[in-house]
Amino acid sequence: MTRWHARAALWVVATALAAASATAIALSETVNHGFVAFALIIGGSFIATGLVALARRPENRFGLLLYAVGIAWFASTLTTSGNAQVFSVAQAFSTIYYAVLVHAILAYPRGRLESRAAQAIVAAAYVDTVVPSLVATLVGTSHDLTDDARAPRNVLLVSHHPDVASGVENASALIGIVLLAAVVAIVIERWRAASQAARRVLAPVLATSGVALATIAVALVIQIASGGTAGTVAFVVSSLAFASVPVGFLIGILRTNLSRSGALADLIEELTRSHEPGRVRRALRQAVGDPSLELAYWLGDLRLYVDADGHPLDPAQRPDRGVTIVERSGRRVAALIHDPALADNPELLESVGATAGLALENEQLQADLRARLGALEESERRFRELLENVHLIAVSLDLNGRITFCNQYLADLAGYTRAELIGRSWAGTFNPADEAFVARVREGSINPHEEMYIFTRSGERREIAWNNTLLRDDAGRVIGSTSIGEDVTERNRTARRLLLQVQVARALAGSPSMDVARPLVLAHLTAALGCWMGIFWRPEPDGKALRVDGVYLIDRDDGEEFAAGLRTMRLPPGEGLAGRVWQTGQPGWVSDVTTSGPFPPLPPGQHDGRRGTLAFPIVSDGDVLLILQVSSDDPTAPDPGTLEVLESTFQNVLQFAERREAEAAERRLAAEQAALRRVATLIAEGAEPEPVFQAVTSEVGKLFGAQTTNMVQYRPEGTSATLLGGWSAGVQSIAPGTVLELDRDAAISRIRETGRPVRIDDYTQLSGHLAAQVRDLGARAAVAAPIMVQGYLWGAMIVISNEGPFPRGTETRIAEFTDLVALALSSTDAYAQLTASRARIVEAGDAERRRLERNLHDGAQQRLVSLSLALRLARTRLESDPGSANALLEAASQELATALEELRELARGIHPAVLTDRGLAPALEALANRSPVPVAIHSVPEERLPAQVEAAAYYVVSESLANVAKYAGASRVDVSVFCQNGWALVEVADDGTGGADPGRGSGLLGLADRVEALAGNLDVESPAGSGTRVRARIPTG
Amino acid sequence: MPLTVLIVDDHPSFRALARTVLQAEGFDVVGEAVDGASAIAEAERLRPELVLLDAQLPDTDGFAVAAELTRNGDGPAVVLTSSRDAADFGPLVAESGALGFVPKAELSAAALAAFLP
Repeated sequence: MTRWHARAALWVVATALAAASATAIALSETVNHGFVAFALIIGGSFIATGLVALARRPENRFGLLLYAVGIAWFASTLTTSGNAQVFSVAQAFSTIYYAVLVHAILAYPRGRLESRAAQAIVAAAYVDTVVPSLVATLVGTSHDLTDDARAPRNVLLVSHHPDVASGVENASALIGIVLLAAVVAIVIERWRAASQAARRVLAPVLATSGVALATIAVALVIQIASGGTAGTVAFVVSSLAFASVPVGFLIGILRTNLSRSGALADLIEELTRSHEPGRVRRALRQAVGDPSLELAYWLGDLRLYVDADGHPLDPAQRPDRGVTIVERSGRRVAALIHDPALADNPELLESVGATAGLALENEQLQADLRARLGALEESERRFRELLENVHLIAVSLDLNGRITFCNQYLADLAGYTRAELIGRSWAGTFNPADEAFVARVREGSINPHEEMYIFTRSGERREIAWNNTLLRDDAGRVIGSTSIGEDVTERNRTARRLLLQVQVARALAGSPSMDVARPLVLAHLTAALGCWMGIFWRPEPDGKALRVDGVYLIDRDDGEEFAAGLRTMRLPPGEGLAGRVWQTGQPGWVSDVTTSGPFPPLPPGQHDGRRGTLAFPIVSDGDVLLILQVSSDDPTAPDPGTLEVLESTFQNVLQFAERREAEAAERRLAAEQAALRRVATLIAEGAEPEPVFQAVTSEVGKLFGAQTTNMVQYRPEGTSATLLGGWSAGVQSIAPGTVLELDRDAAISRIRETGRPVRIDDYTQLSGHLAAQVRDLGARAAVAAPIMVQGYLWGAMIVISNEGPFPRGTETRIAEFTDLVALALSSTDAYAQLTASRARIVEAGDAERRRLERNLHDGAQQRLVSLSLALRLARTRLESDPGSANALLEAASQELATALEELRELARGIHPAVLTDRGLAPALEALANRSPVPVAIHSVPEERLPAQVEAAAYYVVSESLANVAKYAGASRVDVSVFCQNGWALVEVADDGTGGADPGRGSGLLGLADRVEALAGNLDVESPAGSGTRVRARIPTG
Repeated sequence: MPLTVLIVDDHPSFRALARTVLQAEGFDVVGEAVDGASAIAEAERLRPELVLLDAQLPDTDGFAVAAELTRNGDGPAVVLTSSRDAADFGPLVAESGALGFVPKAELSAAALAAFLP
């Protein structure tokens, strides 16, 4: 079916229904016939308005809804029909037109219910208008009770309950009020939310609808309140309000059509009247009544929209806005971005767009221009910004070398303002050497790329990599130069530092020792600093002067003589550049090294300007170990960066040196410990001194890199020493057994005097025969350490080098070996002494027993034998010669007494019984009583002491008293015994002639053995003419 | 004819007692000597029939003197004496050429005569 057919059908249905309605009313006997016109006007106006709307917007269902309202209205008027069937059906659906009206109002203007609330309300309205009417029809209304015979009969009546029908109708009316209130609320909310353009369309419709709905609601209230009696009045009033709704819709439609024609007239006038920018937009805004309307001009070749100022504007980015494309001659010109409500009136937008097409095209071209101009300006701005903000110098000079342009970067870098720089001489401001560049500009031949220094206002030197171009006029004549320069100071510094560190690290890694690494480091430093000469100065060991440690010359050819001259130099502290740096510990710089102190003549070719010299100390723990001195052609002092590079390089060098030194020290220590262990093992095995001497001298000689190591023993007279032997690394040395006179400066002479280790760093400085003798054998330096055995100076070990001084601390380390020698010697000595002491003790015991046997044999035994013979003789004569027998017995009695006395004396000699029984005091008293020389006993402990201590003390006194009686010629003897701190102290002193020798008489030696066997000691003091004092200390614990 | 005796001992008190004892018992003590050397000289000179010889002498011991005196086989009879016991000397007495040993405390003419043939 075509659209035309459909419309025709709609017209036919509407006309038929209108005719039926009019007929029913006209034939009705209960209804005023004037109602015909009323019913036709209301229904007709809805149907007409609906069909007009449908004609305008066939796809919009809103027109159909208005049409449906009219149809439902006509249907409801059929309740006037006298036909029972028609009446009954019409009665059941008599109020549905309200629901359709609510549907139409809420669907305005799109023809769709756009919210769930609206859908719910519409659904409820349909239920509320159909269900109660149907129920009332089925159970009967008050109408069905009338006895008016003209009234048609309700054919749908099932059973008659007018009160139920009335209750349902009242409930329906109540629900209707609520629904109408909700609709009014939605209408008001929609009005509030509508844009200005939308309100123009909404206003008449919403106003009339609102009034109609409110009136209907009021009518319903009245209907409920009056119990249905005021129904007719309310119905008429609400029907009148209802009838106004299509009028509102009509006004709305008329208004849009009116505004369109008016707007187009205004638009044309506005567009022709003015040419100011934005006039098209303003005119369009007025024309469509949308003050928020925006124009976007299409730039076809750029495929983008821009605004009037040429700024990009993408309509697709505005989903909340309606967009209408304006075309002209099939070509897109612009887009109108507008209130989405205007989409309901596309004719307006199209006609307005078409009218403004030419003006829009015109403005499109302008916007295009502006957009391209803007892009150009942006590009220019960026380029300018680039020049200002990149870290590059931009500078132009004229032919006189004056600055005609420079950027802010140069000004900031150099510490000037741009205004200060413009017009100034470049070379005069930044580097005098650049006069040559200006000259080359004038000649028209410049280096396109070169690296030059500039000096900033504060005197700092910056390295700049330049790109130079010549500036020419239209005739091609050079009028100046333009240069772009990059400050590469930091980069170069970093690169140099990295290169230097890599080279130095490589040199160090490949060197086994600092001595090997030093010349390599010097060469790298000299080259990396761009210098033609580098020197390492080193303090002499005595700290009195600096000497050249190494020289590096970039041009070696003519430098031999110069380098040789340098090597002979000695700089005391403070003298010359290096001497001053040595003194201060701080880097120093001079512009001319040849005038700053002693310096050999420079090699030929080193003309003026190559004498700027830096000296840099290498300091470790506050000591200057080395001084680097480098000379370059740079007339300015080195910058802090260079000093920093040196500092960090030397840190590496020092770390390397420390590491190597630590490794060497570890190796030395390990070797030393191994050597000490070997010697100690030898000693522990009980080796004789001779092999120990050989082992020690050989170990020490090899360990300390010596040429000769000798062991000497001092002779008792104190003026000479015997060379016992030693080790030699195949060089000539003094023969073992030689007696060396201890004269003057010789190392062993000094040890004899001081008892301390001795170092000789230079034999040429020594005097005396022995020193000369050693020197003649090739010795250049030596260290020597004493060998102390049990507190006295036994000898010394001397280690000799034919090459140079030994490292610091060597004498201390050698002392560890001489201590071992001393240990070996004292062990041997102590062993010999112990053995001798034991032998003496045994011998003394044997002698004592021999003495006892002899004494018994010669004394008591002989007397008893004689006594026996005498008694036998006396018996034979007892009878024959009684007188003779008597005499014999008398003699025998005396002989017996003598024998007894001799036996007592002997027994006392073996061990004094009184000592055992009564202790030291009575025993010493007895000794004193028997002594021919008067003895005074001053003190003897009352308490008993261990038996062996008492015996030792007793024999010290008894032997001493015997010696006094035999040799001293003394007039008195003083004896005392004290106990103190676990020691018994025994002292026997006489006033005799003195001069007793402990070694000569066996008595004192035997005493010493006896006392030492108890871990005590015996001391005899016997100066000639001053008496003798014997002291014994015996431990009592 | 009484037996002639030479007494050799370094202790004078024993020589005196021995002379008294032996003479009292009928021996003729012809001489005395104090050491080994004088003993040999006196034996040569006095030609005694018996020598009473002390085992311990200041210059030598009695065994050596006994060996010397009896070396030719025609010398005097030698009897050794000592204040010690014979057992103290082991085989020395038998090897010395002496006829026997008399402890000093048991000295008598009969004890000496017992060794003579």
